[in-house]
Amino acid sequence: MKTLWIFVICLALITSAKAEIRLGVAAPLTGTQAKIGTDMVQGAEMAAAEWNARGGIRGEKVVIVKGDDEASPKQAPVVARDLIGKKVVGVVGHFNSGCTIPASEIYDESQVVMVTPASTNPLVTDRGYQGVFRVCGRDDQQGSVGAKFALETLKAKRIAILHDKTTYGQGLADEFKKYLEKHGVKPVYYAGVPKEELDFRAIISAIKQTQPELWYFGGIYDQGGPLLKQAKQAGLTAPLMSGDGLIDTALIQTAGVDAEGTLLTFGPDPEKRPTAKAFLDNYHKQYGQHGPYAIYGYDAANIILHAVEKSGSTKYRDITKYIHNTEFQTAMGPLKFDAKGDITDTYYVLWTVKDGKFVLYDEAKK
Amino acid sequence: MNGAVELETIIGGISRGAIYALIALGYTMVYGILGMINFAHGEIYMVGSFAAIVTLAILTTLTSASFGLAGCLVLSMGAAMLVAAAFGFTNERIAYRPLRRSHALAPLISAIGVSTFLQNFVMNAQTKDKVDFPRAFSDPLWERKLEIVGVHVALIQLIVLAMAVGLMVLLHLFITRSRTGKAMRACSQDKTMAALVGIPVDRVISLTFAVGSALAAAAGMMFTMYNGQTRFDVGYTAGVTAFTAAVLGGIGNIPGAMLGGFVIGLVEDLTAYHLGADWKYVAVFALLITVLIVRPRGLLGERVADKV
Amino acid sequence: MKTLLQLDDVHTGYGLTEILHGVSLTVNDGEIVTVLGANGAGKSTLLMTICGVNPTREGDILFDGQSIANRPAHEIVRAGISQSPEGRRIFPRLTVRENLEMGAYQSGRLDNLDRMFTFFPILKERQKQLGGTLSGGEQQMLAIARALMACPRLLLLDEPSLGLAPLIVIKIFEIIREINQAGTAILLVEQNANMALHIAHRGYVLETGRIVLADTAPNLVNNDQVKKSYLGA
Repeated sequence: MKTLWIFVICLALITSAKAEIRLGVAAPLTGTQAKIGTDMVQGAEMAAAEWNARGGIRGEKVVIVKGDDEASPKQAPVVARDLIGKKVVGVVGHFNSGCTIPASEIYDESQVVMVTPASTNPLVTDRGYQGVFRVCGRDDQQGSVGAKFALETLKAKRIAILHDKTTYGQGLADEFKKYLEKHGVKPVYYAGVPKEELDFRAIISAIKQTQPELWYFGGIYDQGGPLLKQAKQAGLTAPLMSGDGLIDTALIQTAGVDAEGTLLTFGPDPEKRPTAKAFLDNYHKQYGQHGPYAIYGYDAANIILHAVEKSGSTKYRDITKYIHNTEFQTAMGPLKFDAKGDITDTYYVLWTVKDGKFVLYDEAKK
Repeated sequence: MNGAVELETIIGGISRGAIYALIALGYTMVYGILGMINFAHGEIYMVGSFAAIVTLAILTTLTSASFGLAGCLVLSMGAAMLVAAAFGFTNERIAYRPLRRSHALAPLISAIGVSTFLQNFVMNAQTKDKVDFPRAFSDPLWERKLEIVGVHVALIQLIVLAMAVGLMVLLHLFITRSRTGKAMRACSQDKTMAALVGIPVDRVISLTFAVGSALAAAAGMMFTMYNGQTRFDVGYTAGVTAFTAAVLGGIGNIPGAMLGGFVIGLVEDLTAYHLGADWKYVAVFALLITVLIVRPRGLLGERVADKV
Repeated sequence: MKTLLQLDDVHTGYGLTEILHGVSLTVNDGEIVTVLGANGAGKSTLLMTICGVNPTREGDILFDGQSIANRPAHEIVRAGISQSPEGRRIFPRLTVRENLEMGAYQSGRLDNLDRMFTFFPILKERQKQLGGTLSGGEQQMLAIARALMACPRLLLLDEPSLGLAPLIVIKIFEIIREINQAGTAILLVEQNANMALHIAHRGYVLETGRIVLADTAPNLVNNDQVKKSYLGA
């Protein structure tokens, strides 16, 4: 028994002595959301490669450790424990709020910093965990921006709301609804649909029945595609509005022309940001066209790696302290975190689909 | 307006129900003849949906011949049915026949194993992601619509319904009129006696698996055409729903499986329409439980006096 | 007379229990042979073994000079042996006519239907009815008719009189004799030893899986042991 312990300790020493900085990336890498997870991983891998090209951090090589949470709230904590076991200095992830929330409890418990590129549910940062950050906005902001646009720009009065019953989807739909109701508009329809469902016809009939001028979906693109297609088939002509969960090229691939005119709330266009140019050029060279979340994966990874370098430590307390007190120059522009771990200014804007591409709403209008 | 949309929902429910019915037939036929629940049946349905898409891809890219829209669809459905029949046949040979004389739970466990195997096989051999049904083949059928007093019915719904009902009629004729069909019924009633009159029972069982699998594949193709996509794990939900349909109608009873399929399709869609999609499983299973309490043998499963 | 069926030292059983411990018997062309025995002596097992439903563990079964031991049941039917089993085992949810058609599964001789309907006019009347709805006597007739649809050279009958009213029993035995006179050999297993020995040419007595006595029917009727055990004298 004793020899076994010695062996284990030796092994641990050898492993930790191997000079490398491990950065975890947790995202859905299989299943219907694999595409978006892969984008995030590629963004983070590019960040790591750039650090390594500059000679690593304090001479240590940066290595990405991937974890596949399958977009499942059950799998996410398993992945979290696995990454912690692999001694990562921090984690970029997860994608779905429903995964991020349970996983972040484990990261907090084990004192590992986590920066999510995509989880927008308010609860992610509202629980007061010191080492939980996000480089994206919050659904209360996102929902309000969408609802404000619906009421003020579209002047819609009859609005139907549908969600996928996940933390993210329902959370977003509820924030959207909250804003509407605060401004005196009661949705004409509000219901959930299971996350696995692929046949939406009965629900679409019910929505059509309410004769909406606009309908809203809180959910992810893997359902959004068939949903749009089936809506058009059923003759539901009102435009669909949704959040950042729908913004992926796979949506357009599935829905084709039926996606045209869909309205989406998301961060600003990286292509309009001078700071993003270098990233985009490199990314295109290496992986081809960028998915919307690649740059957020890249930024999240850089923030952690910067903190590791500048704080001169791989300790949780030093890293979180550094992240909280620093203004970062990211590809998306300068960025600072508030006490909760949210970014201080978010700038949700309206996107739409035009000619098979995601474009800013304002530009599509021109 | 209200009535029209309601009617559209009912039509949608019936088309969906027709597909469930096709899958349910496979469960009920196998149960009828072997008294076992073939848990891998949902996976055969999934394999069928993939086979159809692969065939369409081959037809459009590899061959220069043009079969036209209808031709391609019929060919791919035929191919899917053949492939699935082969899978079903092999499945029985490898995973169930050797266990026929063992403990009743053995084939059940084996079936679960086959189900997991097929899911993972397709996931690895094809893809983990969803696969879109080629739009070129489904969109035209959606775009053509009939309008009768304000009720919109897409051509595809009529086609799905017609094909499903057509297959059910064919199956009915096969079971009631053909020599092999009658032999199948004989086997399901008394396998030893069937052997004593000279029916090659093993061959009939194999054939039952092949026929049931072919029907599931047809359903798989139609469902994929109808919903636009498939994935390696679609067999689970479809399988459970269709199995429920088979039990609702009276497991082992062929008309019962058909009726059960239609009832579940309708209940699902009407519930989703009136109460929201979250309630449909509640409604379906509440109905199942009620039926089983009132009529434990299902809607059409009747106690036949087997005189001795 | 030519030997049609010959069993040589046949052993069989279920699982670990052996039921037949080396049975040898013969049936010649044109004969009615009866097997007498108490409940549990192994009579039905014997017939099921001949038909290939039970395995032959040891010994051999020759039909028309060819070994049929352990052949699949449907091939034995094709070779020319069919059975009307104990309990009649009518397919309850097939019609009378379909039951008969199943009997002709191997022979394909659907033209035999008319012959059966002349044998058993009641079956013609009932042909559209489900088998499960017939009375016991009708089911027995159907079971025999179904076996005959295979045009067998050897017909195995297991307890054709069981549970039937005396008048019907007499009728069934008349029919059995008629069938035999038309050229079909018959192996008859029967509890009603009186009736059986009355129409049979020869007989065997089976006790706990062994043949203990073999003789012509008239001799068996006069055998004291048979009288005591099976004829209730």
